[in-house]
Amino acid sequence: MTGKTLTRRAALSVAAMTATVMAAGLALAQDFPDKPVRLVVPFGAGGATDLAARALANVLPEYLGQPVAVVNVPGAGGAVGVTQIMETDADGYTMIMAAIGALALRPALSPDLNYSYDSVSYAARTQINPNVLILPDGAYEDFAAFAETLANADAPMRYGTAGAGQVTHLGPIMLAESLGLAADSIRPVHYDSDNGALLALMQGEVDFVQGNLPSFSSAIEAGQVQALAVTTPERLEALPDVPTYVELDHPDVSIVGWRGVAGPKDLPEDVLTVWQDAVKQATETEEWLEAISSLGDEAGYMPSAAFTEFVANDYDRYRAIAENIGLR
Amino acid sequence: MSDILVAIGTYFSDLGTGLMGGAEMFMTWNNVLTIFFGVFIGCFFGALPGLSISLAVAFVLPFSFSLEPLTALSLLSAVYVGAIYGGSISAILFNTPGTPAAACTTADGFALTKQNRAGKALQMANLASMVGDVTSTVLVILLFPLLAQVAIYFKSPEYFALILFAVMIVGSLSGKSLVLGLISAALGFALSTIGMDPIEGSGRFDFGNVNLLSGISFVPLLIGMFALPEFVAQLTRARRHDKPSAIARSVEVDSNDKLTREEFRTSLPHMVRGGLIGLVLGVIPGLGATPAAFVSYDQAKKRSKAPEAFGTGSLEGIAAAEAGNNGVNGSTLAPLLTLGIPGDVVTAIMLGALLVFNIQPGPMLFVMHQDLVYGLFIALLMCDLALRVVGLIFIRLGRHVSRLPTSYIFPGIITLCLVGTYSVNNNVFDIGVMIAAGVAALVMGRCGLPVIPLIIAFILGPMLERGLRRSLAASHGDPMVLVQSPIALVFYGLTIIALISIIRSNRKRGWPHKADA
Repeated sequence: MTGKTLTRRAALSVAAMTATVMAAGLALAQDFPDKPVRLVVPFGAGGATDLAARALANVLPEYLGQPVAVVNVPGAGGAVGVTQIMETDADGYTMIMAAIGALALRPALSPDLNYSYDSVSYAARTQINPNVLILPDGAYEDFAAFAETLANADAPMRYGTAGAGQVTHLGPIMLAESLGLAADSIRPVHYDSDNGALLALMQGEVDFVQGNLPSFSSAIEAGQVQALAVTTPERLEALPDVPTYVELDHPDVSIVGWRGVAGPKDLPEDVLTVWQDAVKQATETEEWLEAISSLGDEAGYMPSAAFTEFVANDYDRYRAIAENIGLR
Repeated sequence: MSDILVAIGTYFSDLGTGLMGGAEMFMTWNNVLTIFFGVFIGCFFGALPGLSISLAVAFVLPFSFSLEPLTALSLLSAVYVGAIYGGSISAILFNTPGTPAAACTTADGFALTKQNRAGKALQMANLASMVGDVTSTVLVILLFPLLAQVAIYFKSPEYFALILFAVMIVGSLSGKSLVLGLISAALGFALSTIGMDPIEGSGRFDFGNVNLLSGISFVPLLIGMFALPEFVAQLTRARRHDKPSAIARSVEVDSNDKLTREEFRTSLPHMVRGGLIGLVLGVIPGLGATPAAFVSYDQAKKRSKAPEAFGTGSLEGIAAAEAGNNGVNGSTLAPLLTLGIPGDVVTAIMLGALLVFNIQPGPMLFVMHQDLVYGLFIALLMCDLALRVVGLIFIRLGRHVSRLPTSYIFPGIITLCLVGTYSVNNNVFDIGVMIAAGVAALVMGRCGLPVIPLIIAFILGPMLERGLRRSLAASHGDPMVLVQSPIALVFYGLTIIALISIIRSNRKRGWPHKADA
């Protein structure tokens, strides 16, 4: 055997080995998932995040190639579910329906939480919820009139929230900052749900509310409350006459709720890609679009990298607010 | 004048439209079968002495979470209705009330059994349960929209006053002693403060444990407190050959022993009156089925043409007692649905279920989920139909069911309770909570502390805190807001009056207090 052939053989075998390893890697990616997957909802059944997860789980199997089981693990404002995800194997078979409350707002507001926004890997964003500013019907002519009253009020004006650290709590603070008012010029009164805040507004216990559109749309339609501004960049189909904060020169009041799919930290890149692509395809189906529009959500797909950056940005600005108003 | 007529007309036409919507939502095979199944389970638990109504409802609770909200609430109501009725079967046949609410039926029912007229007694109990329930349910349906309109005036200070009233009443009524009841309620209130602060969301008493941060879950607490002590009690008396099964073997039930038209006619007024008494007592938090049965029985005795027969086998007595305790069914839902106040353990369980479904009871429930409320009313009426059908089966089977050896049934129930507890939150921690709650309930039982005030205060405690803190937040910290509202003042007054009368009646020992729902 000559040295040349030996070298050639060695080179060949190296090439073969590389090919095998690559094939194996490829096969691994193609094999995933080879058994049913679980999608953990860190909130109770019937809530907005649960319904969003179930809408996704209805269409996802077609693109993932495996059944998707939705499992509710509620508790501690989403912390119990997130903790369970952090403790599972990073193999992509157990994922979580991520939402703004559990993964951006709570970590930004509570320093003693056992996780932060970056304790999970984000696969893809699925949808967003526009927020809307509502007031008692006929109380103000337009947003400018309300802003005027807010700036000149003797006592802080009261606003209803669905609980501390919810979008309903932070949204108005963003508004006050954008109007150049001190943080204590408005005062939150915390209720348990969007409905509770809405009722308090109608009873006159609070002066205004800003939160998720779906919770308030029936009251707006019935003329029980008036809508003065929305937080999305574009006007909404459902509320064509209501201006956006961008139009009103307050582009910083851009708080929107969001949901998406995330998994344990350090999820393998190829597994993450499988999830990202399956979610992309699922969120383009007519069936899914119909399901989420009945929930009052808007489609908002975002791939893994962009979603990760988006959450980090969201976390940073809510944390800045929290520090400003002395919550942490 | 014509304005009033128009208003009344609008009221009833709205009601009609609402009921149609509710019927449309309810009328699926799924819901109808759920009702029959629920009534059957309820009858079964009710007919077995030792299995309480609370346990029956707690038992099906975890399984209801996978259903649609209306189906789940229908199931819980059906179990409740079935269990209240089922309690009369063992009361009549073996002199052992299957539930405390059936205690009033025992004397007349068992007397009739000894006279070999058990068939008639069972028929009468079934009919009276149905008529009493229908009477009160129909009235609740007619009045509900009015109640819902009143509820809109309840802001945070009014809520605080109302819940304070409810805690006092429930805490004091459900035990032998006011002080022990209030101690138990205080324990429940303390337990409810574990976990996230209901206003600010920060952790309290969680020792850095994320499971404690989410607070003690209601279902494991409830199942632990009701199921485990009954299980242990069953274990300790398993060897004893109990009297009921001995009697049962000798009892013959002739199911053809039908009621005559005459017997039905003389009892009908007692049934309707019983339903009305149940309606009134059911609306007041903390009273419930047992006093309703006794009050109704007492009234019937005063008005009957044959009062001397009461206690020695009077069909009229059975009619009055059973109509009274079933009349409570529909009306206990009224304060729950309009104000979010549970009047007894079963409605507290239903409140827990509503919250799990993210449905907030209270004034907004009627605005946001009108179909659900009306659907539930249709479900209650369907329960009455099911009660008649399932009841006829139980009149034949009841003797055998009540005689089933509980030592075989309990292990199965306990296993299902464990599975159910886990399945609610998919969290093993909850099983630990359930066992701890069971041990605590056993200890409390030994100390004479009633469990029910603890459960109710556990549910109402956070609501009381929210009412107080929200009132203060909305008034910029001025405590006077709590006493400025006339509605709130009325409830403070009622609380004081109720406390005085309870202390007095405790001295005198009036009719038996509700020991168990």
